[in-house]
Amino acid sequence: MRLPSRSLTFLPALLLLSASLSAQTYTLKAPIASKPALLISIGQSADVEMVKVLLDRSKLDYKADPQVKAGGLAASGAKTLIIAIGGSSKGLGAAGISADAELDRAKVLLAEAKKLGLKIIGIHVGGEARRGELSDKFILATVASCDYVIVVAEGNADGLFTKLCAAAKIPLDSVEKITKAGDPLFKAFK
Amino acid sequence: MITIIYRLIVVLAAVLVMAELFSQKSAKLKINAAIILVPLALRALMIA
Amino acid sequence: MDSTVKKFPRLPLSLGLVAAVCLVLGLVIPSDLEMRKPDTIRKGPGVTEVKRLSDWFPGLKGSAGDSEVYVLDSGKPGGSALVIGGTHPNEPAGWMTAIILVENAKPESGKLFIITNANASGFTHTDYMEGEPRHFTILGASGPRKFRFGSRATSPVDQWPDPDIYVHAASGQRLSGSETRNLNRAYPGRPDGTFTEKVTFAITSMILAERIDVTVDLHEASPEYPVINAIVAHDRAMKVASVAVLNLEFDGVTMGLEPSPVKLHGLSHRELGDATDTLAILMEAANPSQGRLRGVTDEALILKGQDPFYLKAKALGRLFVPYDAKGWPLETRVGRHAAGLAAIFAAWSEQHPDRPITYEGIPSYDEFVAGGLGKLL
Repeated sequence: MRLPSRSLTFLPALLLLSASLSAQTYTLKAPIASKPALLISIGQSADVEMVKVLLDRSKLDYKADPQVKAGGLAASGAKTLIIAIGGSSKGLGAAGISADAELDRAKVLLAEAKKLGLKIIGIHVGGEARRGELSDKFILATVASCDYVIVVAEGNADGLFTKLCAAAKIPLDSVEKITKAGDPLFKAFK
Repeated sequence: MITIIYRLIVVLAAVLVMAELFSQKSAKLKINAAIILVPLALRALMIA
Repeated sequence: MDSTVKKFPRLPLSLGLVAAVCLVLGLVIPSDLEMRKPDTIRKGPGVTEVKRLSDWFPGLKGSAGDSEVYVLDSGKPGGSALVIGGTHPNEPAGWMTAIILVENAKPESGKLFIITNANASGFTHTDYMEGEPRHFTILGASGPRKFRFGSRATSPVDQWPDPDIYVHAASGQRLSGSETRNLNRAYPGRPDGTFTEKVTFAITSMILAERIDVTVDLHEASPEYPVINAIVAHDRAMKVASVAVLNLEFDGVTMGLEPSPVKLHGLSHRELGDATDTLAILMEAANPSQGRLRGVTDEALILKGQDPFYLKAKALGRLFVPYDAKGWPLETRVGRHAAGLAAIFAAWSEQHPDRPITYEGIPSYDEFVAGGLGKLL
């Protein structure tokens, strides 16, 4: 095991390097979101933890509250909602809620976010494993309310995100890997 | 303790079946007894 | 003579049948007893001490549950980690990874504790009605290496009878009776509990006594099970696990991340995290030989993971992992676990620079996939 090569110590440098070398162009041309952000989960998968790491690395001003309810949005002071989308039976079990209760929470929460004028960024980093019956319920319930969506390509192999975003005219950016999702997410902020 | 009781019961059953194997006249019943002896012997020896 | 005939009619037939019974027993018993012989595990260059679970819980001394614990002490300051293989002996990538570590890892900082056969009793039998082979052989660099393919649970020879309902002692959780012999439903264990609970009690005691920082329990699951190719982490381990998942991405290994459910009791990632200060993590690889949809269950299925029925299941969208004609070879599964461990310890070391856990001698994921497993045995 060679620690430095595997370590995330170089993640920010790698992200910058990959951004400048590949100069990946994103569908989202200009920043849309204001700080601070509130990171939440819809579906309660642990993917929210991965997004947390990406946000920590980018030093974005954010708070995380994966299970926040509609009533807590105004109090959070957030101007942007970052939603880690993806269902997990273990995650729902850990949170002690059913899939239906989570869907109900999502509906009310998204309506409240719209009412408060929050920008909503949806992010799906779980790839193929975070698709299927359970996760797709949350994807279908969330994407249409987003102002911007980022997906790790493997999770969009069947074009579901492309279809949903095209129908609702939402800019969608697809990245190859989770580690590459931090760049467009950071760039979405003013 | 429960294991010892179990094995004693199994050994007793095996002995009685063995006695039947020798005392029965019918070949069919002798073969039956022999077949029954196999799992009983395995249980008595605690072979999984 | 007449009385003998009366007492023992058809004596030659009776004696012939007894001989036939003995023949059957003679064929069955040796192969069963062979499963009770431990596999050969060689002490590698990093092994500084071989202990037993009874060193932390004397109640196991002399029993079939007194598993070996290999200690790999770098002699340099650092953190401590426990790698648990063989919780489920029918999940070979888990315990094979532990064996690979014992035989090849050279610690550079910190201390490693490795259990290869956590449920040693489970290695002495196979699951009923599953038609699984009792052994499989890998052509290693040192010649053929034969390993047992055991059962998910403790042998009923060591623990019986099963209750109708298994009540987990610490929480009152009720599960199916046969789960009473499942090591990964018996944490944190009890000194006066069942055989299986005594084994988990010894492991918990060891973690407490040795102040083990990180514990990783290595498993496999069938391809149709939703939590697969994944890390399951206790709440406190989530920071290390999430960074590990991203570290793995650099190696081209896609790994899911799942939280340990708070209300699912008896599992290592929940109870060890709650009962001790260790960061409790469990890893799953994809093993078609333990799945419900498999066809012929032979050594080839264990080693190659190729099964026509899983190809059909994949086409029908019923699997939670990629699956093609290449299957899920043991090399790939062990490679995933080895890379997962490296990523977890790298993440730990990055977050705790004063207590690093590092070792060398274990190849990369790509090297495992390219046939590196045999070279290490």
